[in-house]
Amino acid sequence: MGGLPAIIFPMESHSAYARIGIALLFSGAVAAPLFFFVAGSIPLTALALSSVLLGAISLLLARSLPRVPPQAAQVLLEAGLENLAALLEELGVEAKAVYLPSALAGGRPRALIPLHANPERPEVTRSLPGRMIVEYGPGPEDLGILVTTPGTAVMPFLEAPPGPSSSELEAALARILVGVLDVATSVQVVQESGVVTVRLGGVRFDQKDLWIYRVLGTPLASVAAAVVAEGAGHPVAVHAEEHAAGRSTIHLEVVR
Amino acid sequence: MTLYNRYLLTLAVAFTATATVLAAYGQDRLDAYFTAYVIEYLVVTLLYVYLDPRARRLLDIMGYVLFGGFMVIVALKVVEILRGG
Repeated sequence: MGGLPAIIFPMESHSAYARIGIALLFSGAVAAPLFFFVAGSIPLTALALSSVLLGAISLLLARSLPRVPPQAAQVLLEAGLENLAALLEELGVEAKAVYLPSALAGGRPRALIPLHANPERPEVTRSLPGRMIVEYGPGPEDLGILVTTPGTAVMPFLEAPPGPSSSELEAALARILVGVLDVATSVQVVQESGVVTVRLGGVRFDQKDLWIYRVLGTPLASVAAAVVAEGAGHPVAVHAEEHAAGRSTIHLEVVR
Repeated sequence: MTLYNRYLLTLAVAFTATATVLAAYGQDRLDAYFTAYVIEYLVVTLLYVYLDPRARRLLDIMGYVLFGGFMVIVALKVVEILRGG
């Protein structure tokens, strides 16, 4: 199937949206002339017309669905994170990660995991090279691992880097978490004395208790931290997370 | 409920409510229903600002087509008025 038919009836998309779209489009297209010419009812014809419109919209939505199903994406994500967890466990790393903006992490926002646990957050003042093991300070113990996180992967979905204000961060996070990933229905960002609180409503994401989450934070916190770090232009650490009944609250600490 | 489902449900409720209200008021011109649908489509699509960029591009094309239909209706009305109908 090629050309216009392929655009209207995508072969690769046998999703519910495509099936509903075809059903609504054809039932509306058949019913509209019947209601207009045979029954002579304008309201019923208008109802059939709305069915045609909804069918066309469903088909368009079917064409824009992600090619990788959400379940498959979650399996791939967990497999990647478990590999990283195994590596960190072997190295005996337990320090919490610090999310760096792209300006400090070789062009892409990434997370720095210090190899030595310190009560102090690592202080990164210069751009680190895009390697896995990096020296982030002058001291002999200032070694860390620079890793790609879920937050790194979603950053290209933002058309422009976010600004530092709460509303700009909120808009950027909503675009990613609500629009692109569709894992939450609402996002609220509040900033107060160096702590950024991100509240998510209608969360639809299986929060398993993986060991790696103690280091990097959950994928939702990782995305939030990466976006806030990019917006603030400073390193950000996941301070705390609370998850309950479809709501998540993520407290992020901006390291200045 | 996913964002796409909410979007479709909002449109379905808006279209059905419009058809019901206009029918209750005895409206018997198809262009009135179509115009209401076009306005509702444009407003609802605008409100769902966080839709995926690919979906938004496709829905924008649909918006242009519907707006074109609306302009045809307006043009026909203008011709009708100019002819003294």
